[in-house]
Amino acid sequence: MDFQEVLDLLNGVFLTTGISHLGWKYLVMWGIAGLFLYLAIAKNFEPLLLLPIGFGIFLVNFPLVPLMGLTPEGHGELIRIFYHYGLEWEVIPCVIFLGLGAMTDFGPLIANPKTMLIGAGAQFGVFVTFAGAVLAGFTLKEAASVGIIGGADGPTTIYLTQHLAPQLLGANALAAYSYMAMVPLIQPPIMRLLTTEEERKIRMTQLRPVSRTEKIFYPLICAAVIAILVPAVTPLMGMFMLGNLMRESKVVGRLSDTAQNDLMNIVTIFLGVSVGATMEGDKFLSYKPLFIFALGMVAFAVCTIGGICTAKIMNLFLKDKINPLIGAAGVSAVPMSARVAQVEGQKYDKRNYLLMHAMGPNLAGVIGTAAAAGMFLAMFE
Amino acid sequence: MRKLVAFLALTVSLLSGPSWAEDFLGLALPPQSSAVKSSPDMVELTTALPPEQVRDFYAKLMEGEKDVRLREWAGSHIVEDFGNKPWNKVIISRDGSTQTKVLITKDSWGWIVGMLSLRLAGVFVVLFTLYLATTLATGLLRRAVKEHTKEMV
Repeated sequence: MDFQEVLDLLNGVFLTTGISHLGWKYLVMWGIAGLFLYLAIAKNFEPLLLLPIGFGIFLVNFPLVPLMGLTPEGHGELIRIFYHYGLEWEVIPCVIFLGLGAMTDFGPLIANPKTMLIGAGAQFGVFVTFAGAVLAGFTLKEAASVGIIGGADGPTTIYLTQHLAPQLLGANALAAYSYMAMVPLIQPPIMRLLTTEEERKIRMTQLRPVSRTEKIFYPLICAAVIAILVPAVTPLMGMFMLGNLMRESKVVGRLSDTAQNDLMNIVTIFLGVSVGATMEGDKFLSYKPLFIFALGMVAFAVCTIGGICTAKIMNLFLKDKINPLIGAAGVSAVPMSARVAQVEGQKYDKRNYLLMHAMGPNLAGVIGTAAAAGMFLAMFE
Repeated sequence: MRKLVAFLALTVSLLSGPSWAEDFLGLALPPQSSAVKSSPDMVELTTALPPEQVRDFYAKLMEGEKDVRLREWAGSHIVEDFGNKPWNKVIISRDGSTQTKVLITKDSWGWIVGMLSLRLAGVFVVLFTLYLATTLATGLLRRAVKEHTKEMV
């Protein structure tokens, strides 16, 4: 073996490593991955999601890694398989909704059902952002998937985006989960801007106790209404209500426990890694994802405004006034935005407990976002 | 002189007569069609072709376009674009008349805003229906439980 052959051999080995393929896009994506990991680990912002998402971004942004491509035999590589069966087949969003349903107590919404209208009003931002996205040059389907970010509901955003604009899945999911994590930063200034001190001090009448029978009937009623009016989102809402029925019936404790703990944790891992892995530098570093982040912020802010304004409009007609701070909880982000309403309310009246009142619009927001997604699906499919 | 006037009149009438492009906003017009009405926002055509043939013409034309959708409504076939094409939709009426009417409209903010307002109203309708259903069902349940308790006492 002469020297040239040794050099060729070494060159061959060198080319099979990622070093020769590195570029600036990888560096930028490592920075973005680092930011997500920092937010999750150091700041404790939605760590259950941001940590696997961040690591997913980090892992796929190395050259030659066999994670999101196809093998020479045509099989998917590891994360592509998670992505294909979990997200493309829309299994994960629906299973997450099953777990969320098993975790949810609809008592506050059943006790004060008029707060459902706040959940509807909070969808205003979804539609405003849709128009903004069309102006920015997105197609109607893409605009719908970007607008839904304002609903602050990760699984619904993924579900709709996968249907209408799968090419935006990574950016949309990331924007939705990022803004969900930033609820305590984004919402309070808007809440203070739109309400007076007197309004923030409004104490709401205590919610009546809700019987077990009512709680058992509610998922059936809700599933029926959704299945009739917006059948396109029945997979999501059906699983949500199944989870809730398992919880409230109290006869399948093991299933309910599994849905809200083990199953939820398992799919969260696959969801996070798969979403992160969609963000390969070549696809992600373009103007569209940046627009999506900007429009997502607009969507989220306008949805918050929509919820607060709906509460204020309702107050014009109600004898028992609603504290408009709970309107901000009309965006989904359960239960974070309800907690924000509670914290903001207590800044002005230490003995004002808004959390349970805010849970009503918060849960209505989940249903409202699903309804908006159903409207878009019905329109485009 | 009469011949000259007749010739000029014929020339002018031919020159100023309706002349239609083969497309509207980049969308090809159906074969053998003639325009009935036209403005920058729409064109209305009639054709001797049956509605199904016009639909098939557009279906073939739009093959592979993932943002174009063909819908079947009671009185018409509709070809709708959700992408970035300058035209919005083609409505092919199937009212049984000998001439098929085809209406092509331009994308407009009026349509987008109207469509969005309708969907937002739809979200309110869904949640309001749920509100009514919940109020009614819980009211009935509470009354039934109260009566049952009274009977027990």
